[in-house]
Amino acid sequence: MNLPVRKVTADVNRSQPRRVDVNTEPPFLTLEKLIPQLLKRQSTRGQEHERYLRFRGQSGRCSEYVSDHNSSRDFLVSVFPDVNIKPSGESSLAASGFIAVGLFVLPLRNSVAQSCRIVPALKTLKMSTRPELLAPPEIFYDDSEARKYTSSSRIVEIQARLSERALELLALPEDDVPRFLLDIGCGSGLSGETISENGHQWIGLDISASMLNVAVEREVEGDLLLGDMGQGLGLRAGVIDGAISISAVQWLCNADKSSHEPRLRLKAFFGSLYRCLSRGARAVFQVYPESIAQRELILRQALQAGFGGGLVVDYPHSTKKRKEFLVLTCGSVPTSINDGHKGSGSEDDDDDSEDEDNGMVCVSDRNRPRKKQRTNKKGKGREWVLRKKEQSRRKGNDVPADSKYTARKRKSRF
Amino acid sequence: MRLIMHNMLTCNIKGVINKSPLRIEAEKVIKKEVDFNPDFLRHMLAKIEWKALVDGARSMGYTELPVHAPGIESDEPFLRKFHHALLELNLEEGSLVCQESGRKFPVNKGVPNMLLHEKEV
Repeated sequence: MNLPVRKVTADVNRSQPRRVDVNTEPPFLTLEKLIPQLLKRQSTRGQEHERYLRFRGQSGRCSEYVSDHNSSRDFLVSVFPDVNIKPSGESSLAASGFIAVGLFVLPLRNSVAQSCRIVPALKTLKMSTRPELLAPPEIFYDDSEARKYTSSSRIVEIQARLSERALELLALPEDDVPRFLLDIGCGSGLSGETISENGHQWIGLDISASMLNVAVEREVEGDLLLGDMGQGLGLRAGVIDGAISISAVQWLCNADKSSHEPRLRLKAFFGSLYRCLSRGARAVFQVYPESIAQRELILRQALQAGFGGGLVVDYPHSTKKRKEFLVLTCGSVPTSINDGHKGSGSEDDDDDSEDEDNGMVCVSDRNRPRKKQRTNKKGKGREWVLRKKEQSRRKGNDVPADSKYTARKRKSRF
Repeated sequence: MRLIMHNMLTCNIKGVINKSPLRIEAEKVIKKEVDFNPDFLRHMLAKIEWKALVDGARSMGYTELPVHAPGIESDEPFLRKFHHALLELNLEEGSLVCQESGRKFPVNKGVPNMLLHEKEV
């Protein structure tokens, strides 16, 4: 599969793309070829312009991905809008309908227009619906996306609900004394507003300047900070009474730059978080983990940093309503953690039961039945088939004769 | 950016020992009124680094904070001053400077940019 890759030129001085020669070798571009050419940092006038190579999770080679996961949706799509990507007939990749090429985003700080053009193209070409696979957070959440995110009433409602639940799980003492909280990945301040409504003071941290601009416009009451949580929080020890994070921590699991190593970033994040939390304080993260592996990665790093705690799942049996909250405790172990809201068949009942927290962490993945569930063939054996045939014969139908092949177990394909 | 956050911020650069506090270079300061809550102020009193607060308030133009924090008795006038310095002074434009390395973190529209470069992590 020879991919007609358009040569993109990127020159930071003229805000034009610089010419990049990429060796394409059928059937796919490999990261080893792309990396030497693409991952160069240029410093011009004291500003750093970096080319980002985006790849999934821990260091995985694109070519390995292609060969091992034929029908996986882990494939990344080329950023060049002009490229004609046609599925080739020969490769087994085509059978699954997915095409794999290397993905690179060129975010030049001066030419925001460049990235603005690329990301919408990405979104139309996207194979995956997860935003963290499209672009790094500071680029995905550009001005237009930030505005869309904040003006969508559905998102506002969901964020408010999630923030309320997270605040509940923080189990702050009910003495009407406002506390000092940290909102990690505060974005445009939707979750922060919920904190303010509950009377607490807060600091919000986010990596996207566009989202923070929206927060400033909305005049949120908390203090905002432009920073990267993977670089460490940069707060003094023991000052924070509680931390919440709504849909932000999963961004840490993707490496957005060549220098990123997700495990180290998670380690820096959880280590600095543990330090800045006061004794007995909690951190509640609402996450959408992509897979069990990702969830375990997050949990493992959290435990290594010294946290205790567990996972609270609301509505575990509903696909739409299911929400996961990672509750981490710092210092003393709490006496109870509210059980997740359970749906009772019709998913509308709230059934809170107090559970003893024994300090252990358990991860449970819901058993999701396959959509096309095979019927169990136990009920219809040879005897039943023979009986039915006899019945049919009595009716007068034309029934094939019984032989040793009657009701024989066929291949599962049938 | 209010002094309540400034008091908690440290310089996260690798190798820097004297991380806190960051010196404020104020260019534009505005005052926003916030509801007075003595319980919260008493709760925060234990966490605040007093000298950093006094220096920060001074560089933002507020000099009425006592040099030493009162021990146990914190009366109303003191709490009022504390409240004003902690929650009502907003730094809109300026920069935060790390004492040890000299690195400047710019503050735009009240949001400090604490993003570190690759080499500093």
